[in-house]
Amino acid sequence: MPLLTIFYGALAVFVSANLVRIVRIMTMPAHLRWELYPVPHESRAKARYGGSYFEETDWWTRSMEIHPSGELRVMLEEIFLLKGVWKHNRKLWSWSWLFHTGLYLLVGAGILAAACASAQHFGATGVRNALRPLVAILSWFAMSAGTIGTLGILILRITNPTWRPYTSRWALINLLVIFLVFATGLLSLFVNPAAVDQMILFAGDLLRFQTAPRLHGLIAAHVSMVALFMAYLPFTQMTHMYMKYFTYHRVRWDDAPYRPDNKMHASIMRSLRRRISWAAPHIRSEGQKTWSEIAAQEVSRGAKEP
Amino acid sequence: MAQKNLSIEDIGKPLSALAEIDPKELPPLPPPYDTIEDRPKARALDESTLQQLDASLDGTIAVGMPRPNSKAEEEQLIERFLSGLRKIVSRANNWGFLQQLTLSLEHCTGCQTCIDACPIYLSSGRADVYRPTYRSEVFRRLVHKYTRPGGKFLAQVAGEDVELNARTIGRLLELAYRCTLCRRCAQTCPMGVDNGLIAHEIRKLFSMELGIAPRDIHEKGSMLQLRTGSSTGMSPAAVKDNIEFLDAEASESAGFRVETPWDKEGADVLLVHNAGEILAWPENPIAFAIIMTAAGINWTMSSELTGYDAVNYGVWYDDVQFARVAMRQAEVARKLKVKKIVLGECGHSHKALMVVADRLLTGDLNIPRESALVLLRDIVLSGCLKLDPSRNDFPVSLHDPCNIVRLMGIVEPQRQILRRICPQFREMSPHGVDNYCCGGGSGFAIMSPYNFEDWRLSISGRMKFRQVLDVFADVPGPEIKKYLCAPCSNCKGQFRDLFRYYGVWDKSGILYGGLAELIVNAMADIRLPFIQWEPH
Repeated sequence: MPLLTIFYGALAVFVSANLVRIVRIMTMPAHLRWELYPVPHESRAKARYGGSYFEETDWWTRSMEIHPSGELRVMLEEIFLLKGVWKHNRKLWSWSWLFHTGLYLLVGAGILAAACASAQHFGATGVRNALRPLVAILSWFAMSAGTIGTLGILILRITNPTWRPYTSRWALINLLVIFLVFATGLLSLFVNPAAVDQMILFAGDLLRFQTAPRLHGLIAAHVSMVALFMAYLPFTQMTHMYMKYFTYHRVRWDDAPYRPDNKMHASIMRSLRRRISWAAPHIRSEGQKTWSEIAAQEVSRGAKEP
Repeated sequence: MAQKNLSIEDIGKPLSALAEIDPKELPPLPPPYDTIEDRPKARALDESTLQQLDASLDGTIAVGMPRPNSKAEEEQLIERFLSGLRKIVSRANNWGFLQQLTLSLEHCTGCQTCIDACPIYLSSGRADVYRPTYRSEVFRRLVHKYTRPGGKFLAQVAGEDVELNARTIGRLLELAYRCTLCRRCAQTCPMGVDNGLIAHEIRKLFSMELGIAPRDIHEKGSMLQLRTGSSTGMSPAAVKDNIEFLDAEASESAGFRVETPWDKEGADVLLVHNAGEILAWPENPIAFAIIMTAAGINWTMSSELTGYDAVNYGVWYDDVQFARVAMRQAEVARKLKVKKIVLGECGHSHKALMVVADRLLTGDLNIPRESALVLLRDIVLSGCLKLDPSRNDFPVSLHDPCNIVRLMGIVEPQRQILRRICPQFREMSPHGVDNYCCGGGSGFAIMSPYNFEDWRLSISGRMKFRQVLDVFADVPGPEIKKYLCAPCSNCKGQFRDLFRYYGVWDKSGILYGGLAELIVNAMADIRLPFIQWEPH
């Protein structure tokens, strides 16, 4: 029961803390444009060389051509193949790819284990029997890839001068937690032939809110590490796994031009009414003036001068 | 020598310098620029400068923060810096960049994928202090430590503690001016973190809270522009006089009457040059006037304050200065009731007015804005000018200004022109959105205080210089004249200084210039060759 409670607690922290982070970013004021090319939602021809709608004559008279499939393709390549790291940081890529693939497979194995447990619960033994080997295969691949990948990254970050100065205690703890998630999982698979079945049982109990069975010590350790990792992740930069949506879609690829009738306009107008308190003498705000007053002052001043 | 294994904490430590550049450690240049003894030595700073200003980053001064004279002065400096730190992460004071900054501060994993994308880091012989991640990590730790609840405790526990003292502040200020904001690093970051943005935000903090910014881009730049109408100091009367003189030259070159229209209400095009072109490279505005006249464009220039100067230096260092200039430029166009503003060959003004200011210019201030490269492309491809490419039958290559290309996606129009009028056009490698910065970006090209110019020419411009030499490697000698097309005033400023520094005209016969000049040079009806093969 304590393990189950710990897991539910971790899940609650994981969901709520991540939600808080997402809401915080989403509710920030609309920002000024800061895009970077290539922008993959441009037409295929332009996206290939990094072109934009600014290349068109009187671009503001044309309808915006947006191809979400281009963004999706780039994101999928980034998520599953780590294309950016492959292109620009080959030394890190193999370890990083193993590590990330291990994480995806671990999530996949967890989902399949839950499906397996559900099938068993509803008496669909055939489905259960078909899924069970898949859980085992995914688990083996996940734990092996994750253990090797994390270990590789840990060694690089501790020993290689490229990474060592940028690896704080905090960063090492992050990696160590993930390493223990995978290593305990891998060890359980090695020493306990019933490890996969126990995982499926645990997944079933999680779904039914029932008392967990007595787990083998190593599997209990693995489950505890997964719980710790989940509770801990939202407080680290590992949230990049979903924040990439914002860094890419909302900043790097945000080329939406100003339109007086869109939602962004209202947010910008609110921001222009905010008071500035920057203290440098040339700002001349005295903590009283708003952004629009400060800028407009110069416009009227300009108009009066000869 | 380029210090290796520099720790983040070293930023606040009493080391004489975090990097000392030894010319022998810099990546070699091809012959005849490859001998160490030919390499110009960096000027050493004199004793009194060193006593007054903090040069402990790398022995170079771009801004020069005065050293505090007492403990009390240092504490006051720290307090003002901390006040700026709180404001840079606040909605009221930094709403325009808060989301981008927060995302970049919170999601770097330290993978160092970006470092090899940085031409400054590579050109320095990989001095750790110039990694794009170094200044960002220092700043990130300071923000986390001083603006978050429990930040000081967490910084200690996590082993991410950076001591905040006058040395840290002085070095961070200088470090914000060891990045050209080319954002090549951001392009490679798998997380979407933007270290160029962080350098930009550090500059803003110093300018907007402490009132510290490079004199060349603040007092002699945006402040002068707001006061007189142009960062060149030219008044409306002076600019009209100068253009009248250039019109006479244009008429002589073209063989037909060229007269720049002024303040023509309802014109199709309000053409705004970087006013520096009028003084430093008059052949560019002359070429534009010839093309606009020959193509029959309904155009005008403005003689209102800021209406005749496209520059907006605030985009590099100060949001308030940036907003003030952008609003005034838009107001000029609104009053003239022009159909669109066309920005001349100036990269940062493209990005400033077309991109960054876009959401600031609300209502009827949001006048359509277009790049001159697009208009020129349309004119050239329309066939309304009689063009003879054989007049441009010499090796030509194209420099891609970061602001126009990587940051705006205007890649092809200039190439369509060059492919049409330059039979020997060749591309650099890499080019387009993967280009290297000229090394003069973000204001560097107009900054030459103390010994900063030496650094700018030997380090930040090195990668581009090498690219230029490589692209003409099959015709290396001065006997074959070559043309480097750089459609950006700032980049041209950097090439002017780079080419003088290395003696490029005498050794390699490379001339730099704009795009419009090549078009006029190809005009079959022009009596004399427009391009004068003389170094600028």
